[in-house]
Amino acid sequence: MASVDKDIEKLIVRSLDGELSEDEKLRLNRELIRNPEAHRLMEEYKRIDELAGAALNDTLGEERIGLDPAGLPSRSQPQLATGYHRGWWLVPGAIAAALLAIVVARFPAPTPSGSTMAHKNQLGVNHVVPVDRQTAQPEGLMRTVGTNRVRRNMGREIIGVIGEDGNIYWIEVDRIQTIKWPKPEPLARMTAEEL
Amino acid sequence: MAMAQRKAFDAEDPVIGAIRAGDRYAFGEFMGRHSGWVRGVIYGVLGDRDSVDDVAQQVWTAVWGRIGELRDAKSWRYWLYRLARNAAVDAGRDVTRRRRRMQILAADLPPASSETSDGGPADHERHRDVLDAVQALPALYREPFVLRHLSGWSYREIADVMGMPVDSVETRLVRSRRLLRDYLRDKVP
Repeated sequence: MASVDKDIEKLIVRSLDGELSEDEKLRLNRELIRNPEAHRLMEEYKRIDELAGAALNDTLGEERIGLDPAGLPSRSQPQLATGYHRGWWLVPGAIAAALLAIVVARFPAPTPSGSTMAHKNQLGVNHVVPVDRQTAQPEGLMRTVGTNRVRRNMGREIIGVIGEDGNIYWIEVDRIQTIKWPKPEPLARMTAEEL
Repeated sequence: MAMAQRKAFDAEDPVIGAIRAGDRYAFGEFMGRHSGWVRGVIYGVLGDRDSVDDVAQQVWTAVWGRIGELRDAKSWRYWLYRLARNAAVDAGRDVTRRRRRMQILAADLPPASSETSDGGPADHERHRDVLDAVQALPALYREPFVLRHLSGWSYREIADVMGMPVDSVETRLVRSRRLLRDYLRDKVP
């Protein structure tokens, strides 16, 4: 090997790969005649190529496509995502979730009908509970702003989405609902306080 | 120049168009013609025979689903190569984990028999030695070597898909032979 020039080694490899020009073939042939080491190296590489080619073809060359084109999903269905394409929906998903939160906050639900009951919790914050749902959890914080009462309902939703890679991705959506309505009549407030 | 010449006419152009239009038959034909080298790319990256079929199936499913992303139909070969390579790189992490587990298990198992139905023990042994040697090549060298020996690609074709000069392909193929020769020195007569 030491006596085979690197250029000649390159020519040997290119010869085995069928990449030699006519001039290069002549040059290599002269070298092979002149240098038995070069000839030996060529035989060794030739043997390696034969064995490796046979081994690779035996192992990988057989057609074993387990995919039936007729069974492929239609183009509208989700497909495999690889590399940077994986998780591409996270950004639009997050934007949609943020928009949803804004919409919920901007457009309050209708003012609750019927009388409401106010009570104080340990922190001194008023909670409003519809009278007909007294057993339910308090729905939000109530404050008085000017002549209006403002109630703010806050909730967090966690949405699970199964990704194309089989993993479950969680999207947290903070939802804030603000409801304003005029201050109740004193009688009604007294009634609530008494209760 | 060769790249430009190949771009001028490519028999797969109409096939790509048909696949884009949803022709499953054309897709089946295309898959059959190029399955070999796609498997070679996957093996070249992974160096693991057991995962090739699974990853190849993922690649072909992705080809069907994402053919619309192929802007220039003439660059289909490079596009398919990148798809196969990326899928193999993704799968490589799982393969590494599995290899570690297998190494732990193999330490407790008795040695496997080398007898096979279609060849003598010596042939099988040599076959395995050669594959082990190819697998032991750095991916840098294994990938062009497999493309050359499994798919019979020219240096230019390998250089085009791998995005490197022809000289670099040549150098890698010389070095891969040199390494294989060292690995197999005492194993192959």
